[in-house]
Amino acid sequence: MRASFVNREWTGKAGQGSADTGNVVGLDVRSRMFVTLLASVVTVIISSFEGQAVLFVASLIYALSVRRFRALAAAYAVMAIMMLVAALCSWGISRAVPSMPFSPESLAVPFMRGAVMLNVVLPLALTCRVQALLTALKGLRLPFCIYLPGAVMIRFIPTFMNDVKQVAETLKIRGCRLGPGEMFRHPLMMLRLLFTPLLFRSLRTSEELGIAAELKGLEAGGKFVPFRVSSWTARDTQLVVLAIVVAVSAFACHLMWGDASSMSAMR
Amino acid sequence: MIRFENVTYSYPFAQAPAVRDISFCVSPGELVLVSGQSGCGKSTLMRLANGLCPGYFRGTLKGRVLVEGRETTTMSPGEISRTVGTLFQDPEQQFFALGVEDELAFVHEWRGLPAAVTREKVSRAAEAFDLTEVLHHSIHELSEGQKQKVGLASILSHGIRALVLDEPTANLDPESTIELAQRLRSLKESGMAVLVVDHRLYWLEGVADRVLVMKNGEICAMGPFAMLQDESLRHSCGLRDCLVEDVRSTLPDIVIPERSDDERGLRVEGLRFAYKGDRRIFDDADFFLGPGVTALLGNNGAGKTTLARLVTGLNRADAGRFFMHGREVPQRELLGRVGVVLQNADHQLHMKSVTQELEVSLRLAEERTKRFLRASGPKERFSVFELLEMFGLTALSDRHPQSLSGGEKQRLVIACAFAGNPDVLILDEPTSGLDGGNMMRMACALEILARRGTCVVVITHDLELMRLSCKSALRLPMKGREGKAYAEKTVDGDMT
Repeated sequence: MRASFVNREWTGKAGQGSADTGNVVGLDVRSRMFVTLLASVVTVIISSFEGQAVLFVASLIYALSVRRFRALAAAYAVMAIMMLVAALCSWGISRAVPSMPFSPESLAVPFMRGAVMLNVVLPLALTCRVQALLTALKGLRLPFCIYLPGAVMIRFIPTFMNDVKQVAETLKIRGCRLGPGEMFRHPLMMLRLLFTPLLFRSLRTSEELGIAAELKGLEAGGKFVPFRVSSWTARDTQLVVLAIVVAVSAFACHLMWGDASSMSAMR
Repeated sequence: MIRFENVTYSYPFAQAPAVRDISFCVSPGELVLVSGQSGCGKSTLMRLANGLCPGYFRGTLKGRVLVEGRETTTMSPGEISRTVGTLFQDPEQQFFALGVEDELAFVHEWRGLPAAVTREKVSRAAEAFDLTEVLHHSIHELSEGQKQKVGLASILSHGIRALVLDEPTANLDPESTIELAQRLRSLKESGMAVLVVDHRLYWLEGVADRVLVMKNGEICAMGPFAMLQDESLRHSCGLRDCLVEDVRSTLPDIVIPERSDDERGLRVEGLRFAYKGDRRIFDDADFFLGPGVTALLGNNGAGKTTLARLVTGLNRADAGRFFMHGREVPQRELLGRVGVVLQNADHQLHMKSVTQELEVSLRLAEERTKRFLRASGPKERFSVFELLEMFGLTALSDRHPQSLSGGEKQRLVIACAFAGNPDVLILDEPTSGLDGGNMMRMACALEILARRGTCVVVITHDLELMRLSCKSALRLPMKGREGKAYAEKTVDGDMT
């Protein structure tokens, strides 16, 4: 089973991002995780257009360096549709409630936040395998109570995606129509058909994993010693430093020129 | 090593005990096989041995379960796991990593062993179980037999002294089953105490030292393997056969009659298919599936599942013509006429009760018949009552489908497929995990369906079902028109 695009290739050297293409080749997963985490925090904090613009440009260069242009274009197309729907809804509300006027400026910052997140999450998803994420998580030496739920969530991403695919397929086999028309005509029935098996599968999986954890003797307080040598290199350090520099620059722009744009957006 | 002394155990909120007054022991160097019909308490026995009952499931335990002389109630399941290893029916469910090497190392890492020791243990386990070549593979790329080896290698690398296996052969082909039996024999000879819970019996002939037969939570018979030759015992306790003939080589091949307009069955001509970037699995393959029960045979990866997906239209063929009852049908319309039951019963149950699940299937089948304006095909439909009776689900008709046991769910999804009234029905391992009684029930149901004119195709490793039901075989890899055999190696995705 090819689990997902996240699990694209398997060469067995977990933690080394072997499915990489482009300039992110050979980077440790932890450095990419750091970039993602830092970008998500900074993009939430910065509320000005100028600060977001710095983040957007830097993150776009980062995303383009992966050289998965088609995937990036597809993700941007989906995001554009979502933004269009959001803009239309916002416009509709402004027509119904005049005290909430519609302005493109007020939507620019939230949209850029979405784009920044896309730019940092996509390279992570496209360039590392689930096992590499798991290995990286182990390497962070987090407390057991944080590590285990996190690891299980990541471990079961491919399983969950496969479950979704199989549920849709079994409905097709039974003769259920899953088109948008049916979704609108019988929303509750569609919810039942799609989500009941997924819910029960998830519950069953979590119980089985709980049992497996017990039987493997996993418990809090255990001392963890990874058997793999870390693959952190100078390039990872450079990436982390660069990410911090971009974050600081974005803050500086926000502080210097951000007030005016924030105010105009609020107006 | 593992000793039960007058054990009675009840799950929380259960009115009756799951097992009653159980006493037996598994000594070092001994293999004990536990069997009995579904719901007889076999799994509870296994959970008592590895400390999950009452350690994890809670409940009330009377009597004593001892592991190396210590009561399990005084230890956590984690502590017990250092002595008693457990392997589940689907080993993948107990994997915490996605790579073979990481899975083998996982517990050692969490037990704080130095990295060098962990590496040494991983390497030894891989060598012992012939996993060196797949050490850097994803667990999703492994066959069921290989997954089981990974599970077993991981458990044994902890230095355990007793092993508990829950239906270990349910997903294995006969060759992997024999390999497992040989491995268990050598473990036993090295002094390991082994407790196997399984419906399939034949594979442990000459390996099991004792057999324990359970009924309604109690031990109803205990003795040597030869005891299972008593047919009345097998019948009364819902056991499978203890001696099974391998009919794979003697089943006649399907025949391809000349094409005619009044033929009954599915004819496929010039089927071509390859997964993207891979070698062709089918190259100008021709075959005919007529009324009756046909076994689809082939090694793991030969393309059995792929073939099922192609003739149901779930995968698009690169080329090929499909004729249903003599009339050509576009591949996209096959799904309305060819039914398939996958092994993933959990994914197929959506409604609030067993009866509702069947009613919806009947309604969808009617709609589909109207949609395709099907003129031919089996006319006589099963009623909900008939289906409940046929699959032994009458007493469960008001239960929520997701609350049923694995075997019951399996019977329900097959009943739903019967309700669909397809011209061709393909079943993927319909009897894995079923006891003797339910396996017989399934064989009868397939017979009834075939008598009504449906072409039934069974993908199975179950030699007993094959012997009881199958009249012919379609073997993979198939020879193309020029008589060449095609590559067995595929990227065939598992259906489960």
